[in-house]
Amino acid sequence: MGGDVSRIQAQARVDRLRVFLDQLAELERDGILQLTEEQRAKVAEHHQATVARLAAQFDIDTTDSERQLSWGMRIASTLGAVALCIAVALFAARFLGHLRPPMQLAILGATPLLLLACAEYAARRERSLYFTGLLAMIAFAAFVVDLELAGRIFSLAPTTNALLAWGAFALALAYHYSLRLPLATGLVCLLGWTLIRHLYPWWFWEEGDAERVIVAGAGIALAPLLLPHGNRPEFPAVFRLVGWAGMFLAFAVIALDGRSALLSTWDRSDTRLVYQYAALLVAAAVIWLGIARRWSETVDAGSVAFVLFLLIRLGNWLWDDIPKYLFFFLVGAIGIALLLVFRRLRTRLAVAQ
Amino acid sequence: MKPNGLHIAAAVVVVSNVYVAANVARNRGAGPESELTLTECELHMNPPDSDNSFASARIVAEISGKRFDEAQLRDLGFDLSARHERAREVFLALEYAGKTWEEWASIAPDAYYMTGMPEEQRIAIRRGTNTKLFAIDAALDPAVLRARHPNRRQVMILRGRVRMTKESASKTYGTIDGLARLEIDVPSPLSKRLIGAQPGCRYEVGAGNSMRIVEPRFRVTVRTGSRYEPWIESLEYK
Repeated sequence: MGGDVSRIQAQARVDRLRVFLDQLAELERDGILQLTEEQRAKVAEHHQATVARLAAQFDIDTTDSERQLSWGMRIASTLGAVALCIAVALFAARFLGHLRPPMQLAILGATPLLLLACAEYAARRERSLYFTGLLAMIAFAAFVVDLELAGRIFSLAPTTNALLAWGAFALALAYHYSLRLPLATGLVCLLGWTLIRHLYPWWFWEEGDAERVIVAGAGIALAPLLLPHGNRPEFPAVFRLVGWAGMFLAFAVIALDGRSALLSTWDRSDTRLVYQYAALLVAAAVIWLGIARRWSETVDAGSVAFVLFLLIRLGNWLWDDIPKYLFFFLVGAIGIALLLVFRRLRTRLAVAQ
Repeated sequence: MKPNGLHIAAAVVVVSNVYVAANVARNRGAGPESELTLTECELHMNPPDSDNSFASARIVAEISGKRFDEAQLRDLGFDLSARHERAREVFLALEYAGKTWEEWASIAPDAYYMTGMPEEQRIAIRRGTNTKLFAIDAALDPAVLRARHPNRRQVMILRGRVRMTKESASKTYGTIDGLARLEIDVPSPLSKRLIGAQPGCRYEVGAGNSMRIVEPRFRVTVRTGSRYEPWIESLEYK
């Protein structure tokens, strides 16, 4: 489904036209440029015709109020998707137990397929894909419920490959409809698959688990460099956000817990120290990469991680040694210093863009 | 027709469900690997309710007391020289009312709430209100485990995990983390028999400190198949 690419390009064109008209009006107000009535009418006519043509072809926002409404629709469809996913799970728990196991398995397997058909039906009838996205996420939830309940009903040996199947399902839908929520869901499933070695009723964090997520998170964040998304320009940012978030969470776990497979012979306090410094360095590197590549979400993720790890380090250094008020004064002062640094970085990023 | 994301998503659903069905058929198709008749003491029943129509039986097995020595840990694939090893997936032998249970049940417990109770009474409570299912052995190969414990009506093999613990440089032992699946589904219509029933396998203290053991209400036949996955074959009131 390549329609969404054209929609994004059409939206960008309309946005550029609006900015151009605003700038033109400002130049005229300042007396730098004066168009004749005829020229002004021609520009306005061209603008209206272009917007009307694109609006007829694609589901785009041509005014600020439309843009705000679109955000509202996006939030509503995401909340609706989450609520309906929970509803699917609770509905299955409420009614399926009354049936015999073969019938249970048949219904569980058929439901995601039926919902896929509904999503495809919706996609062929709407331009905005809000309902398609909603149905795709419900289909995903139905598939999760399918494998989870089938495992419970037949007491199957737990396997993490279920996470792989869920991830593949979500990614296939994300690429088919160019939807970001299923993409993020699929990537989280893949991260979970690298993290969790077994789906037993209990799960302990063990040495090596966090390191796997660090590698997998970085791999996901950098994957778009190897897998170009020319016709889905909004996907690489999702890869990077999910990847960096997973990677820094894993860093945080070792930086606080101190269990690491790489440094298994070290004391946990030394391991914590090493990972806290390593996380700060990596966060700084991620910020640099974001600036160099003009990836604003990467700069944001690196900045948040840098501040968090700095606070963790400061807490370890000073919490027990200085009065608490002084500690928070210090944190505040560092916050202001970082604010100045980030402002300079932002300026550099804006110039680069 | 060129395959697209929708076809891939549908194929993932179909393949996953076929895989599930094939494994269930493989597990149950070749006849039971073991068949044990258990009671509520070994299976805590969770009847269906207004929000959850599924009923389940939680396996209650005494696994915490089982220790594996260094030789057994080596057999289970652990590297004893390593400072830390991840828990390993193994097959566990669970024996019902066997010698291990007999030994355990012959010792009077000294819990604080039993202070003042005669020894016979304490032993009676221990025997009548606790699980008789005890973990007795583990192996990487279930066939090896079955050869060591051939009684298929008394010993059930299930999947679980064993963890290595290094208490000191000279003392290393293994413990059982738990079973792969704690619950067995109670299929319909058997699940309907659980609705409204009062729990058994417990004791009540009456007037004058008199003690009465409430017998288990159910006799449950549990089978495992070729993949060592359990299911409930029958459930009867005693």
